[in-house]
Amino acid sequence: MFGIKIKITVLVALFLFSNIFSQDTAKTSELFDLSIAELMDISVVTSAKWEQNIFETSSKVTVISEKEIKERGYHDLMDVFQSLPFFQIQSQQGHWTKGGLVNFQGLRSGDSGNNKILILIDGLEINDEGGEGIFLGLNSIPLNSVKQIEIVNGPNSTLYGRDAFGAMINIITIKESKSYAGYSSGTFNSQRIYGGVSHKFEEDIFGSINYFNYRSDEQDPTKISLAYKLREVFPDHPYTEQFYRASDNKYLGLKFNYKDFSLHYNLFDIDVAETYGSNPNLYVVEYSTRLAFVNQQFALHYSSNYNNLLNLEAEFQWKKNEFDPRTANLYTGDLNRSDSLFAYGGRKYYYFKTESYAYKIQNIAEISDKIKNVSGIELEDIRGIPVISEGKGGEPISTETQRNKFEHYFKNWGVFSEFNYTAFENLIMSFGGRIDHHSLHEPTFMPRVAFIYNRGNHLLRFTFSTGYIAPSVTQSFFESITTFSWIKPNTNLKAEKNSSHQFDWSYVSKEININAGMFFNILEDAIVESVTTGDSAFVNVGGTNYRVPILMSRNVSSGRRYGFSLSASKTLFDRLTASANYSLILGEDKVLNKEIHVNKNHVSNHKIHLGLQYTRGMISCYTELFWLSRKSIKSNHTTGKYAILSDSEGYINFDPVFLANANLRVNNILDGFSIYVRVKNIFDNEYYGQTINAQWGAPVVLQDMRRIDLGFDYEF
Amino acid sequence: MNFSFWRIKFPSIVTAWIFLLSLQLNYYAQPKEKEIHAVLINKISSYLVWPENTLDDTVFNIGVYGDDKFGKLLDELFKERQVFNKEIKVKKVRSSADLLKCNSVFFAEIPKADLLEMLIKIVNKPILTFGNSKGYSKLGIHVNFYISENRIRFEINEDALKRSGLYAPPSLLKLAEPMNRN
Repeated sequence: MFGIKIKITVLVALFLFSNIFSQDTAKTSELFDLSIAELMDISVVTSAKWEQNIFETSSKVTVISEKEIKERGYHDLMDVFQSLPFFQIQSQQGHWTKGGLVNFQGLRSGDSGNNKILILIDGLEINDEGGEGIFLGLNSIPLNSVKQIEIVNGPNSTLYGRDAFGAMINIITIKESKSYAGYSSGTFNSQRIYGGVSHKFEEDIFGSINYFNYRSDEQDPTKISLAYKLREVFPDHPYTEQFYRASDNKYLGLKFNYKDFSLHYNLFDIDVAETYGSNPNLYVVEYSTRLAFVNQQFALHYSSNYNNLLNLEAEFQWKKNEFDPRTANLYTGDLNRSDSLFAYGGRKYYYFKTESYAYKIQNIAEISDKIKNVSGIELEDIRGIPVISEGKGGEPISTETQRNKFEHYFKNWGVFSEFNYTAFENLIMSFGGRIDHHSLHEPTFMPRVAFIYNRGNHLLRFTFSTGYIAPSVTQSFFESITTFSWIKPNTNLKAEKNSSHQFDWSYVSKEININAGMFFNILEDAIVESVTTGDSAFVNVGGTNYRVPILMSRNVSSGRRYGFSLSASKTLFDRLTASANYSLILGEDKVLNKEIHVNKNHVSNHKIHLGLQYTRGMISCYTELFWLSRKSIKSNHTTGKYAILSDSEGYINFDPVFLANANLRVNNILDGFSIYVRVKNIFDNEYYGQTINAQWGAPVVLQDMRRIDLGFDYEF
Repeated sequence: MNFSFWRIKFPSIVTAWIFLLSLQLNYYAQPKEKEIHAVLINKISSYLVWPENTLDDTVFNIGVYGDDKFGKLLDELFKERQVFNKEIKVKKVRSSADLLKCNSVFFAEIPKADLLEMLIKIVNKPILTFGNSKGYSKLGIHVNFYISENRIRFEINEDALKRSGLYAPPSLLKLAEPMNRN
């Protein structure tokens, strides 16, 4: 232990010496060498609910600009995350999410959705208020009308509440007068149609409408799965290793600002189909299903700056998220079943819905030149319906009445306050906290303390913050897994807690940007879904009693995550920019007294990303390479067909992944008209992600093979 | 905790830091908003075409009304700077008399009535005015800074410029927010 302390001291000393010995020639006067246009291109980043210089933020913020999104050919958030340290795509297909699961700093997303990160569009949270995460999928959020994406490392629960557990993404859309339209077509019958009109009528009056449609077969059904062709009937045996899914994602965004008021409406209308193997031990063979999400969000926002002490914001937000199976899971052999258990519940599939009303008021006060404060209060009123068992012979069985009968209500209110104090010219301290009261679960306190020291081009930042995730509606009310019909509140659950220590050093210059970061996260009360308790109950179905096991969610896991990252980007020549990052993630989870290393829980320890951007005249070309080390996940398929996938210890091992992407763009061939070609997975490498957890369901899923998309943009 | 991390990775981390320290690079500080304002005041003043015989032979006077801290920053930054080969002097502006001694004035956020009272004194005079508050451009401030999408932008009131006999070249107007040119 003593030796470790010495080593830590040496590391800290190195950080400090890097400042002391650095020649402090950092001068604002160098700004005079820039042109007016260049001066206007310098970012003064928004974070912590007020505008801040990127060197003043309490947590590390990475900014991806509109230009980078276009030049690099990012089509969705998964593309963005793949290029960043500490982010790993858990599965491009997800399970309930139908569009990608991501983990950050080894915090695996839940099966029901991306619940470890909070995503906002123009400051409005799109995560489900019922705690189900972002189950609409990461490929459903368009990036065509985005001005910039801000990625905040570490928990932001102090200001944003329980969902900002591991990281926060704020997608900021354009607010200038601009119209655009575009189309792309590519492999696997993929096509994207997008367009939008934004107009500034007067200085304080602005309106925009944006539309996005992504359709894709995702894989080639003729090569990958014959099952897809038969999906309207039942898949024939055997298709266990075959996988097929299709997506039809639509988005409509409306925004209107009038003086201090703004209205927002976001509609995500998603229709997906999938076919893949299921658990041959639990059920029979594979299934094919089709489902839809309709997620809507409406918000009314008021913001007015009365004076330095009163910069008031108020917001009302309504959200309705619906998970709607259009067909249930279909199993070969089920056709001939007539037993009442099947007749009652059929095969597993769930319909659920949450509806929420959120009210927020906050004030930003500039108390003095040195002290700023943001304080606010939030109230959320959430209702959800129980998870309704679906499916009888492939058709949903619930009625409209059942689907609209909200039986679960809970409220959450939180108060927060954070001070930002400029102690002296180079040192900023921020400290704050938030208390949440949940009507079903214990209250939580979420503090944040940060020290930001900058000198010249160097920045040192230490942040301690706590993130919480409240148990979701599903976790709170979902107990029986066999029929999904015996449901009672699971009120003993506590919120999951992440006590995070983030430390980073940045060096920013015109020629090179370097960042090194370390983190150490302590996880407590992590919820493990569907842990067998050993209990069972008799359920009467159709006049017959069935003894069914009770599976439920419990706070049975704790753990630690720690790691290191190093990133650099450098302009090599006028036209060539290179970027590279490496991240290391270590740690372990303790579940029911059994310790599991993150690497054995579907997290790669090492990730390397290299990017090269070349721009000359109208042409811009971006190439990226990334490599992820091997990872494993425990499988319960000890017998049966999937058992062959596991090693002697029962782990399914995922080989290291090496992928290359490229994007070529020719800008302004005609005035405002640009064309592009994007190739993902250039070498057509076969690699796998997981579907749901490997304990049940198909353990591995083929990820995206080579995709080529050709498209054009027109800005007018 | 599994401390093998320290045993295995520690030498690599130290090596990485030493490598980073060995990089000899030109520095370029991440500036604050007001610093960028200061530089833009200098640049934009130089870009404009001024009426003949309106500028003093040796000194370009910049006044600051309502923000002494910003005045100090300008003073510090402009110490060895020039506009049209003239030395820059930064002055606090307290009255309309002070105002008339300036070539350029920055107005901090002040009550609208106070601003109008000051502007009316210099409405047809070749005194370039800057501001960074919402609505200032409409009130007659020539160049008004604001933040959009985390970047500093400015709007130019062309009519007010013309009234003052100042001329903004198209290259500068192109950079300004087009909506607000009028």
